[in-house]
Amino acid sequence: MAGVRLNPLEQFTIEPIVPIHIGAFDASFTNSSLWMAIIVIAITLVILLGMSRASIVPGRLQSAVELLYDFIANMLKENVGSEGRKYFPFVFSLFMFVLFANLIGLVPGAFTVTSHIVVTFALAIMVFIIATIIGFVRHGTHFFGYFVPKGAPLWLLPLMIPIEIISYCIRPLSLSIRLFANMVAGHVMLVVVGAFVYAIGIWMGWLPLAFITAMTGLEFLIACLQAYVFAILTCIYLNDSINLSH
Amino acid sequence: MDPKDSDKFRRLDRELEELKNRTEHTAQPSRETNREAGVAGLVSRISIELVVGLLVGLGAGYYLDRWLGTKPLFLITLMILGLAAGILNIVRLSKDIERRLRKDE
Repeated sequence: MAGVRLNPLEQFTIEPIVPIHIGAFDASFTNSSLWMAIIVIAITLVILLGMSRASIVPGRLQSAVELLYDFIANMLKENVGSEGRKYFPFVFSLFMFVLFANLIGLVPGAFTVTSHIVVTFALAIMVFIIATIIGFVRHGTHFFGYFVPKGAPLWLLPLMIPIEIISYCIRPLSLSIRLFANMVAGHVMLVVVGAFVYAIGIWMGWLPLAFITAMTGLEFLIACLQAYVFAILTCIYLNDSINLSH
Repeated sequence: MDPKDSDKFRRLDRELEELKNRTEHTAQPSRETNREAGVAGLVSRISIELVVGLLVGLGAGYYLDRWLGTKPLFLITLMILGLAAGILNIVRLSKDIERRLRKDE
């Protein structure tokens, strides 16, 4: 069994590469930081290469980049409206980071940064804080009106307002837990089923092997779907702050 | 305009027309997959929404109780409110799903 990883959680360990300590804080450059840097470089390379020979009839990479751009631009137009164009760079960066983190994480041996709740929660709380600030800047104290449901009878308000406030405040948690749980579950499943192939051996091992092949395909779908969900929820939260509608 | 250029444009026109004819019948399913992906994204949110509402209510209630010494007042009220918030989010989500399915029909 030597050399075969049978612990499905081992793939999530964070190892410092360059230890850095600032006061009491451990700010080491870890394998997670390394893969984040790789993700950012990969995104930059794809977009720069795709746009370097911009032509009217686009090549493969250029159409891929244009497709991604259109996808987010349409998402903002549909969910936020014309006011949303200002926030395109924000949503596009978020979407590309999550998409590339999920997809690069599927490369064998790679580290999945979105499988750590610290990373996904940092992204989600950033979205939450920015959306809340936008709401207060645009509407001032009228933003509190968002928590008062329209058309509810007066005697229900003492019950409805706390519920609305809680449902607003759990957004960063549900946003981050969704992405992190999907990534962890998928990667744990892949390793567990992969260990079956090894443990069962040549006689029946091809069965889990077929299963793991199909699951890898499913994981690609989930990687893209979760990036999409993260981006569209960002749009929906921005829309709530900009247009004050549920 | 240079006659050579207009020749080029005519050729480009022809090529575009050809490409459009070739891709027209494949354009339909892609819209279908788009719609399904959108709905799948919405559906995948349902379970998490409910669990997170309940857990946040429980967690906040537990720590408020420990801080104020009012056990188990906030634990119970905030748990119920958190569950209600989760259900409220799911109701809104279901409305979104329905609207999305209707819109594209």
